[in-house]
Amino acid sequence: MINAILALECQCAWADLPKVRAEITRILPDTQVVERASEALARAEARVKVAEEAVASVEREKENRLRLRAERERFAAILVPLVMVACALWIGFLAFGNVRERQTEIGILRALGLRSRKILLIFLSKAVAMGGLGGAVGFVAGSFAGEHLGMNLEHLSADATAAPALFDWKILLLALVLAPLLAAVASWIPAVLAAQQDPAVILREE
Amino acid sequence: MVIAVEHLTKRFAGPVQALDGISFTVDAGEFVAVQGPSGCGKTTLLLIVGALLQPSEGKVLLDGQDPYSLSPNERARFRAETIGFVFQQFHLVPYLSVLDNVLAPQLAKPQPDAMERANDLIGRFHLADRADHTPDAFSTGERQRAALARAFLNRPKLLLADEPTGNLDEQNGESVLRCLADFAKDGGAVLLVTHDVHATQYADRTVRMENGRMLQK
Repeated sequence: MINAILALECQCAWADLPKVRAEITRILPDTQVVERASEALARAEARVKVAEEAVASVEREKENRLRLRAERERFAAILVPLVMVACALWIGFLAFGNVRERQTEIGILRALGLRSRKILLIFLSKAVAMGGLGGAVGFVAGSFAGEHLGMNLEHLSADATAAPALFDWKILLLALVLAPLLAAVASWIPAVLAAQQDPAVILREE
Repeated sequence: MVIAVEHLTKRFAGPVQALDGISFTVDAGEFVAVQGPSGCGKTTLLLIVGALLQPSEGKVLLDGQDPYSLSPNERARFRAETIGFVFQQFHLVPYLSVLDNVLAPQLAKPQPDAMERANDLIGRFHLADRADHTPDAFSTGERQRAALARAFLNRPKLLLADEPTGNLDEQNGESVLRCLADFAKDGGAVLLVTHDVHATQYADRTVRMENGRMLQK
């Protein structure tokens, strides 16, 4: 005598239970149809929903980070040129101060026969050397600060949302080229003024 | 003649006439001292003879060459090759060692034996034991000796000295004047602008200036 039939792996998780019941009653009258695995079904459905939500959440996070990065890049596109102009002005002021301080020295070197071009070269060389040193120190200090002051971004994935590596040889090379160039451009006018100093005027004032 | 000046006049902006028709010559091996009160035009004369200040009128010949007919760069080179300067304030570069200060003229006129000559001069002026010290470690007399060594580095034909003893005591002042006289004895020409009465003892000739004019030769 058969008193129970179990339907295993029947692929009817989302089927209409009354319809299933009606069909079974038609074949086997007086048979009681009971859904035994509803809890498992609920858990399966929950897992599917959680998985879907996780994928959606990751997508939303990606979109947020991409938007945030785009905003930061727009901000940097304005801020970086402003900072560079401010730095150039500051370097220019310092170079002017340096020329004033070294007026007597310029006068005596000119009296000794140094050509104005050489004076110009001396001042520009100094600016380039200081700019290169500043670029290198700034790069190292910036990288160090980024790594150790809450900007450690290593945990981010390597896809489009990941932050660029903080230490990048290309950026270092760029700093070593751009910083001396900026210093040279900013010091150009003071250096030209130094080169044009009249040694007679300086020596008479002394 | 190392210096030949004719009818030299210099006017600055306004009514100031620093030099008024000065003419004189200085031969090789001659030590000429120029004396006169402050503001009489001594330093202006020295700057013009030093190819540093264009005269308003008149002609300057240094070793047969008119420096003011040259371009500024050629004139700078001419200065480096022909003229040595000594100043009252020494004008040493404070952050360079004495050796580097003495070597400074070779920035304008590089010479293969510059280092050897600089060391010789530093030895001759009794500065060898502290050649690597900066000028602030030296007495005023030593600083002026370092400035003299610098002036001699490029073997100039003409030495122009503006009150070189002005900041020195009598002993150091006489030492500097002796150096200038020795330079003249070796065939160089010296034009010294000074208030120092001792200068007349060392100079071959002393001329007096007043109000931009030379009173006696």
